[in-house]
Amino acid sequence: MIPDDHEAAVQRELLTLSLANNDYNNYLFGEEPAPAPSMSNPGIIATTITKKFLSACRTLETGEIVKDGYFTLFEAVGALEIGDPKMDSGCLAPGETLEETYNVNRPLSAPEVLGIIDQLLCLEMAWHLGYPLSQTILTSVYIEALVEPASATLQEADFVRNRKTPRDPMTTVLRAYCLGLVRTCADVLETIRDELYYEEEDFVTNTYRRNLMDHFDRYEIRDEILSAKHTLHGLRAKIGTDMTQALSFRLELRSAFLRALELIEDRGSPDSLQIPWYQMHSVWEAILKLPGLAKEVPEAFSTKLQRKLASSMPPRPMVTLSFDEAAKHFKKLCNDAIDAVKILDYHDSQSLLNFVFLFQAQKPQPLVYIRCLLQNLLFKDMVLLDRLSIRQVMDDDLSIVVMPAHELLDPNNDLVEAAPHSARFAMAHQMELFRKRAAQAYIDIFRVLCQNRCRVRRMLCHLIQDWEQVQLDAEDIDQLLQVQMDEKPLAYQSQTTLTLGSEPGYSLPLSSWAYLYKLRLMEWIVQLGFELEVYAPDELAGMYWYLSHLAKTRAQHVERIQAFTNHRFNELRSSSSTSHPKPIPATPWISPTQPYHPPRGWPVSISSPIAPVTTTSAAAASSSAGAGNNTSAPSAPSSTSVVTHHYSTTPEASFTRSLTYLRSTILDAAITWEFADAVSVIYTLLSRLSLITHPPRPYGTDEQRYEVRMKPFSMVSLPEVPSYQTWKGHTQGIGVGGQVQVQVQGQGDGHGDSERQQETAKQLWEFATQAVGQAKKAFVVLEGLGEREAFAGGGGGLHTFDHSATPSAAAAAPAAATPSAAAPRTAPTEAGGHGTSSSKQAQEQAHDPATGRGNHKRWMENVGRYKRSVEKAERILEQGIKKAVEMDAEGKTTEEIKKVVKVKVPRSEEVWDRGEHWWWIVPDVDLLEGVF
Amino acid sequence: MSEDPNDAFFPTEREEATEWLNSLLNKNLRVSVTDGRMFWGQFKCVDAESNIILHSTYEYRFPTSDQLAAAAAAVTASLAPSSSTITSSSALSDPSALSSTSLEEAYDKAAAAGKVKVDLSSRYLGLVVIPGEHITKIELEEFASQVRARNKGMGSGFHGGWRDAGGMS
Repeated sequence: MIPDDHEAAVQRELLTLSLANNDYNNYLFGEEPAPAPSMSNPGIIATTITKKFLSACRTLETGEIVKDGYFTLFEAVGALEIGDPKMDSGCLAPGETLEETYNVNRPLSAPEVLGIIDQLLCLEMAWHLGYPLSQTILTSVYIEALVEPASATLQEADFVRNRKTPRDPMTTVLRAYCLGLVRTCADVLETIRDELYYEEEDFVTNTYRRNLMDHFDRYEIRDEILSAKHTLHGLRAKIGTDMTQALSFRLELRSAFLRALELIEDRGSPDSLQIPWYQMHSVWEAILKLPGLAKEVPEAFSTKLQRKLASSMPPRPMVTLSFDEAAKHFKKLCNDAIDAVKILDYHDSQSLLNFVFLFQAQKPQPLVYIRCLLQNLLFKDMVLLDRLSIRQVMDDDLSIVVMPAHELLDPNNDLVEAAPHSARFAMAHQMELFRKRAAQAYIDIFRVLCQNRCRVRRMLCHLIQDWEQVQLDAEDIDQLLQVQMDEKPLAYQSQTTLTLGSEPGYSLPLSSWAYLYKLRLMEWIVQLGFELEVYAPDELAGMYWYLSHLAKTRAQHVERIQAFTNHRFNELRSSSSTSHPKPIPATPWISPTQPYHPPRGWPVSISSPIAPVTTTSAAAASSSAGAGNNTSAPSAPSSTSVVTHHYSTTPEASFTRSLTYLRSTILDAAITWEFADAVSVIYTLLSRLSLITHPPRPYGTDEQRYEVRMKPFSMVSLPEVPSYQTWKGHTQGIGVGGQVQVQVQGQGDGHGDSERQQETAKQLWEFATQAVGQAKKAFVVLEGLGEREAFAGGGGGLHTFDHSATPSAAAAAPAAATPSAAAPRTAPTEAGGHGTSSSKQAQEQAHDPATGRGNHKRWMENVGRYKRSVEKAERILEQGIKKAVEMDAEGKTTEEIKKVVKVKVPRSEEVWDRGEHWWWIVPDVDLLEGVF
Repeated sequence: MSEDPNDAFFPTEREEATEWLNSLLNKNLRVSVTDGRMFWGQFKCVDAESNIILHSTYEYRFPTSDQLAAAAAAVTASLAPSSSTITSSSALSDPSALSSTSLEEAYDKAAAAGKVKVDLSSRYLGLVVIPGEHITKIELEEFASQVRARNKGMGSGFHGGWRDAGGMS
């Protein structure tokens, strides 16, 4: 008997244990638990053991426990504590009831409806900002009544189901508004869920199993809103004109939001996409002109409703934004949406990249919905911007960066049938392999840039490894292709370093392209580190030095590309000069019947922002066929005839476009390099004068920290991470100026210590001043770059096409060609700071009426911030640092210098707020007053 | 089913008390707390302050007075039993937590009508710890067959309790 009982107990125990584990897992992974056991089972008897139990517990000593052997206290950490209001969602305060007692059927006055709507607007914005629905709009008693239980028809969806008496007109208005609100939330949620975002970090998508009415058509809801507006206007005499207006605007806002979402889903014409956003923006202006009419109804919102949601989370406070704050965010949302939609105005791949890059670099960053909208517009169904295949954009990019008018990009190669010995077939085949290999890494750049800033940096660190691999694979493909094309190696001279390229080399266009991207991403990683304040003040010298090292590598690399492109351009001109005595830079026409037939660009040439509808369908057809990049629009015979006039980019124009790009890239790299050098030396100088202190770090060495900083780059084979010794030398200000080059090549270790200390503070100061001067000179040129030269085209408002861009590019091509024809000659010297000849042209470009549109405007702002950073560096060098250096030379102690010169490393936010660029943390060096 | 107030452990009976607590491990307990809720779950752990850890716990909430009144009013209309209901007379055996005049009225009405069935709202919580200070009542669940067997004097085991068990059924 006793054994029997024991056996049964053991079995039961095992059973419950395994069940318990399942339950626990269910609990962990959020699966539906088994239905609650019934309390009235006749087979089960409950015995009260309260006293006995409590007395038994009292016999235990403090700290002693009775527990199941399989139960660990580690598990117990995850237990919900009953009665703790922060953990126990069912816990009620004394006198508190579980049920909300608010009557949703009570008659509402107009100011009350307005108050509820305004509160809902604030809560909606809070949701957009990243708070969960449970703490925002699901705290509304009205919304809860509307969505729970879910209704089958729209008529049924009401605060009170099966009402006997007709609805009160004010309630009708509120109901229409709430319907619209819930439906927009459903759509926003869907857009975000479809794209890459980070749950909890960016946004909480949990709906707590509430149905957000996504089964109703938007137009039906908009009809409800419309009829509510009619009802409202019938009440005008009773509630007054202002009140009618105020409510009516809010209904309009809802209606426009629904329309905007509808258009994005249906992909209406790009022009129309932004109209409802404009509407919403102006409605907001109107709303803000009628303040003070609302009457708050705090009892219509309750955190108690959270207890009914499918979540074991205890009620958390409602998130309250002020109405003004919500309005500010809402207006920014509209503005950002208007701008984001303009991404569809595609000019060229580099402009597209700049668009995404600059759009996301705003502060505050666009809300997660906008970032997901941008991704949606970019990549929906793997059709870029609704009409381009990935291949089209990639080929456009290759032609801008490395291979203008290159036979490898000739779409006709695809038409060559599979013939093993045909060079053209081999080219098409290898290029296809390459595209497949690189497409993901290429697309990822855009995707990554759409994330929050911390993620951008983190993901870029992974992405450079992908690009490393792409580069390696591209090298193999390059080598195969150079045989097919019978390429001759070329020796070139570097203008930047004035060294001769070691040996004649091949152009290796594909791997050059990949390398350039990799370098750019690496620079971004370092610079985002400044923006995100990853580095401590005393590390800035080293990191800016590394940035300058990367930028210099990029400048040299672009020069190499430029040399090959120039070479090919000259060949092209000399071949065409047989018919023309003087090569005309504009448009020497190569007849299509010639054996060498370079592509004339894609339908997406620089001058045709939006292809006609026929092209769009062709592009869509081409991308829907197969993987999206197997076929191309021009190879479809039907579309060829239609798009012919968009081919107007001649090889010449293609070359000019590419050389323009290379020139502006060198310019950008040179400025980054010079300025990073300057900032690095400024920090070195300040730290040598002990004006920046090194905090004590007892748990690590500088070398370990250096390893951590370089970790993202350690996987990259080229450019190699400098050795710690080299880096250390630079942060101490050794080998600035002339010796830098030597050190970069890894020979820095050979210098003796005595030699190292040669640079005095004065020399460092001179060097920094010189570098800042160079950067500033180069800036004059950069600032003057027009929209096309800066590759910041597009995004200028879709409705402005007709007058800003002519359909035939013949008119546009010379404009772009004029300044850049001179580019090959002037570019190298500009890097050295003598860009006068082309800067004039650039100035002219700056006065182009098209200047300051969308993308280019943001680009200009960005450059403006850069420039202010440079000017600040110049200022502190001229004043504070100069004084400090002089005092140091006079043999003053650090303490004495500190009395006169005050140094502070600003936060990146401060830098931004001052209108400088937060990628350039220039220290504040102030001379204290009363010194002179 | 009231508890015998004498059935308790003296502070000196530590060994017996620990043994008895151990015998309860992994059994299903119903623990009521001061705010009127009841928790049903597997007993896993307890300490000197009677802080109880229950596993796979469900929270049961007794009907509010309004609901009970509504149900009592409707009781004449329908008396159909359903599986997830509880008879108010047994569920509200501890009315101290829910004492209010309207509740008593509801009781009266229920008593007048004979039996009222109201849904006991429940929610799954998983692993919970119930601080001893909140506990108002602890019940042990057993199969009726086990209780019967013990009443016949079989397997009474190491404790002399269950004196009141006979009067229960």
